[in-house]
Amino acid sequence: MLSFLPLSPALSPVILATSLLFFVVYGAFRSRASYGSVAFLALFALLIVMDAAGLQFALNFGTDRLPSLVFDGLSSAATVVLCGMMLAFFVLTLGLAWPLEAALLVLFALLGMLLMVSADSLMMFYMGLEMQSLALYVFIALQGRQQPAAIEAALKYFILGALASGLMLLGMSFLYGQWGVLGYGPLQALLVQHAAVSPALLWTTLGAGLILVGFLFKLSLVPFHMWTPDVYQAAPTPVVAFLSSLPKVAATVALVRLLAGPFYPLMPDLGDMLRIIGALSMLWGALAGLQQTSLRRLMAYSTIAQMGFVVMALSVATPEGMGSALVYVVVYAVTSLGLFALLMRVSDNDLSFNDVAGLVKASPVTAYLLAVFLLSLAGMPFFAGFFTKLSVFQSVLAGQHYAVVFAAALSSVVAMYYYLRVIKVMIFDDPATDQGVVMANHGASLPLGVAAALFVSVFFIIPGPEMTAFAQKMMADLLPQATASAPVMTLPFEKE
Amino acid sequence: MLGLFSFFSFFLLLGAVGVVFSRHTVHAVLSLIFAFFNAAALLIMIGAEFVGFMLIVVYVGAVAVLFLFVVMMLDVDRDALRSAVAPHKKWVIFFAAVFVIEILALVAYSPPHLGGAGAMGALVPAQGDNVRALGMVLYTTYAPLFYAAGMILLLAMIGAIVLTLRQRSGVRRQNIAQQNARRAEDTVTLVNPPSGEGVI
Amino acid sequence: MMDVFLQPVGIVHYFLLSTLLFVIGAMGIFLNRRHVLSMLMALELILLAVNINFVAFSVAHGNVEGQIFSFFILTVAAAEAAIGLAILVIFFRRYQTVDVAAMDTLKG
Repeated sequence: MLSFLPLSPALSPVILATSLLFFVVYGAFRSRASYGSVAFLALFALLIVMDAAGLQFALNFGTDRLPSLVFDGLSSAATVVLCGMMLAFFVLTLGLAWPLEAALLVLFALLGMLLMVSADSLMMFYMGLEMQSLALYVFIALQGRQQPAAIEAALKYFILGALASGLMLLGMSFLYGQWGVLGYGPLQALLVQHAAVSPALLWTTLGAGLILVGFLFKLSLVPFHMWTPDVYQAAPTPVVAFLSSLPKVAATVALVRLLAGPFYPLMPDLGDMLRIIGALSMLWGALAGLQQTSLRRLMAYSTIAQMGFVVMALSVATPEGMGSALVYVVVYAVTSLGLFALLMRVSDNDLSFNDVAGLVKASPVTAYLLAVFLLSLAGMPFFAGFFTKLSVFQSVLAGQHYAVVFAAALSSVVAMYYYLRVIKVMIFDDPATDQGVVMANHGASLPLGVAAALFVSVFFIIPGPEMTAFAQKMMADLLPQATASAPVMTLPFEKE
Repeated sequence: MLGLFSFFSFFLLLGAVGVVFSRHTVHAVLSLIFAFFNAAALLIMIGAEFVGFMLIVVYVGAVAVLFLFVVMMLDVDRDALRSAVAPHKKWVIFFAAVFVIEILALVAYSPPHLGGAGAMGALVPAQGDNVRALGMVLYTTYAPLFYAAGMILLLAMIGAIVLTLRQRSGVRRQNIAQQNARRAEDTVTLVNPPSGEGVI
Repeated sequence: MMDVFLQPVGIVHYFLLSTLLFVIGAMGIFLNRRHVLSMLMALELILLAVNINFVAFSVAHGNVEGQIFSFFILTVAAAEAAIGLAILVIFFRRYQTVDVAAMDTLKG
C-alpha cells in the first residue's frame, strides 16, 4: 500500500469526521446538492482516509494512540478495507435518486465503524457501535418513501438492536463493577493477573457473555438473527448490499480486538459459547434456507450460516483461527457486495425464484457472474469461498473441536443444495413469463460485479495466500504471547 | 441512609411498573418521569450529583417531553390499546422471575467484590466537587468520546428531521426574490371602465 | 427498629435495584408486545438501570470513569429516543396505528 500524504493513521477517523461535517454544511447551504454530488465528493475524502491508514503499512508505523483509541495494523487494515468497500458502494449508487441525507447517513455509519475497529476502551466501542447502528436504522427507514415495508423492518431492527445494546451495556457494567476499568489494556492486565490466581471469574464471564450477545445481534447469529430476513426482504437492493458487507466486517474486527485482548484469559469458556452459537447458526442458516422462496430471504439465511463459520474460526483463539476468520469475513463481504450489485440489474425489490427463472436468456453475463458468487458462497473448489472455508476448517481441526466441524460440514452440504437450486433456476429453467426477465441498467453495477467476480475467481493465486499470511501474522502480533509475563498491577479490591 | 434508599427505590420501581403496565400512554410517560426523578435522587444520594441532575435535565426535560409530544401528535386510539396484553404473558413473568432468582443466587454465592470497601461496605461519596472531578477528565482524557457523542447527536438530529419532514404540496411560502422582482408595470393594470359596465 | 433505616447503603443494594429495574424494562419489551411506544419507554428503563449500575460502581471504586460512561450513555439514549420516535412517527403515518400486531407485512 502506497501512501502519498504524510498523514498519521490516527487521523483517519478525524479526516472522515471533518469531511462529514463539511458535507453537512455543503448539503445545507447548496440548494443544488444531491446524493450523487455528495457521494462523488465523498470518494475523494475516502481516498484520503485510506491514504492515511495505508501509511501504517508504507512506513511500518507501529502503534499510534489517542485516548481510548488505538491505531495498529489491525485497525489500519480494517480501515482500508472498509473505506474501499465504501468507495465501491458510492460508485454503485452514484446515479440513484436518493435523498442527500442518505450519503451523510452511510458516512456516519462508516465513522462509527472506524471508531469500533480502533476502539481501545469499552466506552469508545459502545459509542462507535451506536453511531453505526443509529445511522443504519435511519438509513433503512428512509427507504420507506419508496418501499413502505422498509419502515416496518427498520422498526423491528431498531427495537431488537436497542435491546441487544442494552444487554451489552449490562455486561459492560458487570465488567466495570468487577474491575473498575473500561480500557482494554488495563482490563486485560487485570484479567491475566487474576486468571493466574483463580480461574473462576463468575461475574467477568457473565459480563463478557452479555457483551457477546450484542455481537450476536450485529453479526446476525442464532438466536439473535430474527431481524436479518425481514430487513433483507424489505430494503432496496443497494441497501442490502451495504448491510450485508461493511457492518459484518466492522463487527468481526471489533470482536477480534476484544477476544484477542481483554477476553483472551476467558477464552476457554467464551470459546465453548462461540462454538455452540456457531454450530447453531450454521445449521439453522442451512435448514431454514431450504424452504425459502424469496431470493433475499434465502441470502439472509445464507448470511446467518456464513457468520456461523466466522465465529467458529474465532472460537479457537489462535493466530491461524482469528486470521482465517478475518479473511473469511472480508471475502464474504466482497462476494455479497458483488452479488447484490448484480441483483440491482435485475430488480430493486425482492425477488422470488420465478422472477429470476431463465435469467441467462435475458443477460447471460449477469447469470454466470451470479453463479460464480453463489458457487463461492457454497464453497465450491477453486473459488474464494472454498479456500477461506478450508483454512477455517484447518484451524478449528488444529484445536481438535470435531463436533463443531461436523456441524459445519453438514451445514455446507445442506446449503450447497439451495445455492445450486438458484443456479439451476437461473440458467436451466425457462422464464416464468413470455417476455422473460426484464433487466434494468445501473451504470456501475456490471463493472463492480465483474471486479468482485474476478477477485473471487483468482483468489487462490492472488491475493488469497498473501492476505491469509498477512492476517495470521497480524493476529500473531496481537495475541498475547504464552511466554510474556503480564505487567503487574494492583487489583482494585486489594488497595488496602 | 437505608431508609432513604428504600423510600426512593420503592417509588422508582413503582414508576417502572407503571411504565410497563399502565394502559393509558400518557400515564406511562408520567410514570417514566416519576421514575427518573427517584433515580436522580438515588444517584445524588451517593454523591454523583452531576449525573443525577443530568438525568433530570436530559430525560425529564428532553426525552420524556419528546415522548409526550409524540403521544399527543399521534393521537393513539385508546380503546384499541385497552386489551393490549400479549398472549404469552405468563411465560414472560416466569422467565423474569427465573432471571431475578438467578441473579440473587449469584450475588449470594459470589458477591461482586468491588471497590476498596468490599461488597457489603457502605458507598461513601468521594470527597470534593463531583462536577469538578468530571470536568477535569471529560474534556481531556475522554475528549475523543466527547467528539463522538457530539457526532451521535448531530446524526440523531439529521436522522429525525429527514425521516419526519414532509414536503407538503400546496403550501404557500414567501419567495422574497420573486417579491422583489415584481414591478408595478408587470402586475398592475390600470383600467378606466365606463360607468354602468364594470370590468370584465 | 429505627436502626435498620440508618444502616449505610452498600453496592449490593444498588446492584439489586438496578437488576430489578432492568428486568422490569426487559419485561416491558416482551410483555407489551402490542404497543411500540411502551416498548421505547421500556428501553429507556433498561438504559436507566445500566446507568445506576455504572454510577454506583463508580462510587464504589472511587474513580469517575463509570460516571463519564453513564454521561455518554445518557447522550446516546437521548439520540436513540429521538430516532426511535421518528421511525415510529413515520410508521404511524403509514399504517395509522402503533400496534405491534400491525407489523405483519414481513413474516418472521
